[in-house]
Amino acid sequence: MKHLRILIATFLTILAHAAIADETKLALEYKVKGVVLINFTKYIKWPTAAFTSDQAPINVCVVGENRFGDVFTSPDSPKEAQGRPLKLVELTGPTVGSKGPECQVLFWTKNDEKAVAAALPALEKSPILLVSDEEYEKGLISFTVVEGKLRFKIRRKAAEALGFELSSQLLKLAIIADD
Amino acid sequence: VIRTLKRETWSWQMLLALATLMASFVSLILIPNDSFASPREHTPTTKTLFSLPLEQLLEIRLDGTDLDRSTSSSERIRAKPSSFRASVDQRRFNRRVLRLANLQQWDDETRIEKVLLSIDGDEIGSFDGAREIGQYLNYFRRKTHHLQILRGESAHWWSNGRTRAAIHIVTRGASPRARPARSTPPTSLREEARSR
Repeated sequence: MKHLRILIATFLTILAHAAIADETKLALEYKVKGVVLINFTKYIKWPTAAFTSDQAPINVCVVGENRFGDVFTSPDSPKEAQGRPLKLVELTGPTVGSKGPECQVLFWTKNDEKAVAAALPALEKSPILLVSDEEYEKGLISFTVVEGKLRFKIRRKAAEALGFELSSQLLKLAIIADD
Repeated sequence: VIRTLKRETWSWQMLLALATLMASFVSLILIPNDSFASPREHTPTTKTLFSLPLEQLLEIRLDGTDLDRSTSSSERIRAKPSSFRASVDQRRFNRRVLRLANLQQWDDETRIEKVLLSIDGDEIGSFDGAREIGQYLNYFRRKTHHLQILRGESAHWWSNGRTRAAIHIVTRGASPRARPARSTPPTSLREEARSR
């Protein structure tokens, strides 16, 4: 019985260590994803119809929990792109349908798949850069992890059909999903 | 006390487990991301990530290992020498650095004022203590894997073809005796000394 208790205690400690390590890895993953997401605004040009005015900001909307840490709030994060202010908008699942059309970039994770799925058919017709996490493969861009490194898939034809201009630099680094 | 501990094995083990757990949390909370015990566990800061071009961001291993190529030099400056373990290699390397400084054959009136360290042309720090310099250089040596020593007119270079680390010694008083730059790098300090 004594040994069993020791074993349980050791197991719990190892488990806690593993959980902490996983959390750290996840934090880095989302930090990198957040920075790449902001980088997209440098390499992608929106059609003019995507903005209400010349001074309108680029709204980067994140559905659900903001996992990007200080990526958007850090003093080092860019405050503008393409001459427009960059603005982080946090959306909850139920507001995606109503607030989604005001976004220029919309990112969601697997957790919010259901909430976004309902609004997606309408949003897909607008010039909104829909970016999904993991292998969901919905929207125009989806993140994926290949050999421990971040990659992103772009549905190039669909993006261009909506009026987006994708830089060749970006396409060089992307996995083209619909060619 | 031992008898009590033996009786209370369960609580003693639990206490140990809890202490380990607490230590893990404390290390995660108290040790900032940019000061690290081992370069392989280093997590880049947001500032660093924003300074990287997109292609380098895609080179980052998301498990936090092998960040050599993606971590900018501004990040490396914050590595604390105290976090490096003293090793035979490090001591040997420190001696090498000191010998290298001696090879410059400073004039009597010349004093080393500052030593600038750079990686790939970016200044990454300046130090004025030989020990500290040695510790940093050992770190760079480990990061850049057996760098060869090259000699410039006012700087010593380490390069493995991919990364270029340099020490530039800033002096006060008379300048060091001029020494012609070599076109090919010596493979070791001993070889360089022999060639003299």
